[in-house]
Amino acid sequence: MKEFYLDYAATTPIDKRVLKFVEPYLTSHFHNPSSLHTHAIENKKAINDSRKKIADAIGAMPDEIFFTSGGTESINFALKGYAEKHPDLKEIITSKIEHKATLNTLHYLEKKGYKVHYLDVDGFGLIDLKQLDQLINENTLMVSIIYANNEIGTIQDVKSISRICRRHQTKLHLDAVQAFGQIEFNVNDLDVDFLTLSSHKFYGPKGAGALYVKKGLDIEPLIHGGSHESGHRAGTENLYGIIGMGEAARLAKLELEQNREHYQKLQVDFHQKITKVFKDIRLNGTPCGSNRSYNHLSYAFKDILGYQLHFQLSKRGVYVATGSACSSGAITPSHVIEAIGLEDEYQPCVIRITFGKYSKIEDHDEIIKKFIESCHELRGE
Amino acid sequence: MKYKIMIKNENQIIFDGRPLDLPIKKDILISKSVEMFNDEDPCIIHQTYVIETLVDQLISKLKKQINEEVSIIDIKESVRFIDIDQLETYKIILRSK
Repeated sequence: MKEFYLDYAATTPIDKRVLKFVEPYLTSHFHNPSSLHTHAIENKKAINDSRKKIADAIGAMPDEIFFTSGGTESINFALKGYAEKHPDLKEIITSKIEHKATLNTLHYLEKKGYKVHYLDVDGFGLIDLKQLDQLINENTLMVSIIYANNEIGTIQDVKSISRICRRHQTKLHLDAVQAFGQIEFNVNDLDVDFLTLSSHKFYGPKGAGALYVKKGLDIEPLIHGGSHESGHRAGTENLYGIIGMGEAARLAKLELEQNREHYQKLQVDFHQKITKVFKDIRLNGTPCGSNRSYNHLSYAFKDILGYQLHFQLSKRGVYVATGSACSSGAITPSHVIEAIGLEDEYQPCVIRITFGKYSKIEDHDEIIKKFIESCHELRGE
Repeated sequence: MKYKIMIKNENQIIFDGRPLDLPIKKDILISKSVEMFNDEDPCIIHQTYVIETLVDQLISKLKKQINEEVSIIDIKESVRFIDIDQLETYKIILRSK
């Protein structure tokens, strides 16, 4: 059976060039970067080379980049680490459509006495900027916003968000896990204070991430121990993860334009074809070509259950994601789908399709055929 | 194609409904979950995936004899996940809606 991977927002395969680049660090170049003999020093240099590649890719300085185990740790580091250094500031602002890494970190901080404000979003998933402006006050520690939403593909107007934060002298953390490799951005233009990246979302290895921390900001480490990462993250470095992440970031930046063109073609073609066949489906998030991730489509189907459609598609070799969540022992629409106010009859069936650089436009007719077969099976047509 | 399943004991209907509504034996659900996910305590999403897999395998088996009564004793292995007493003495019918 031919397989169609359409879940690139969940994870991407490692780029073969990245794999080749990291292979020596899994075998011959095993030396501890903290040691002071020849090969160890070479490995330390390779980590710093990687740091520079990531810094270059987002317009930061190398000493503003700290390696972590991934996006979740970076988000925890930004929120908890900055909170710990500023115990007088007890309010945090976020949106209702953040990734669980942010929401659950904030729920933890709520238990520690923080007041968290959850911004409303409109039907496209764009945050209410006026509400943000009204909520920031002298007790606000930080605003934390997801740049490109993982579930519905909506890209926030970060420049407007950062202008509001700057006016109130409040720090801004941007979860750019899904945005990097999709959107050309620079931390200085965006004017953000913290920014989260995750390697496996842009064809790098899993288990590696980074947090950008604007120079001059103080942040408490999550993990204490040795002086790795300039005392910001203890523990022997994930050498091949970090080195692979750097190379993947370099390639993502270098090939951003060609990848974007490829994604846009895939997105437009698939959207035209699927909406021609399924006339009553809804596109969740912003319209194609307007503040939307180029590789992202999220659809709501009527009168079908998402997990059932997902199962039928999987059986036919089409690998997508659903907008369902596990809540108190029941499968429910995700918090993002609820927040955008999708009509009740559409909420139970949300399917996310995300393309990648190995996706092929010529596969679309076959994929759509499998959607038709799956829906026929479920609807009894 | 949408399906319904009926389980009969002579003229008495024991179950008549959607395949996914079949009562499932907890121990089979767990053993299949261990087989698929190596997880003895699956979340509801994984439980649902396991149930869909079990039901899908049964439907594939019964599709060859659609709308016909099949003695459960003949397809014992495929229905072992169904939580109905004395199931082996009954008949099962897959119908297209």
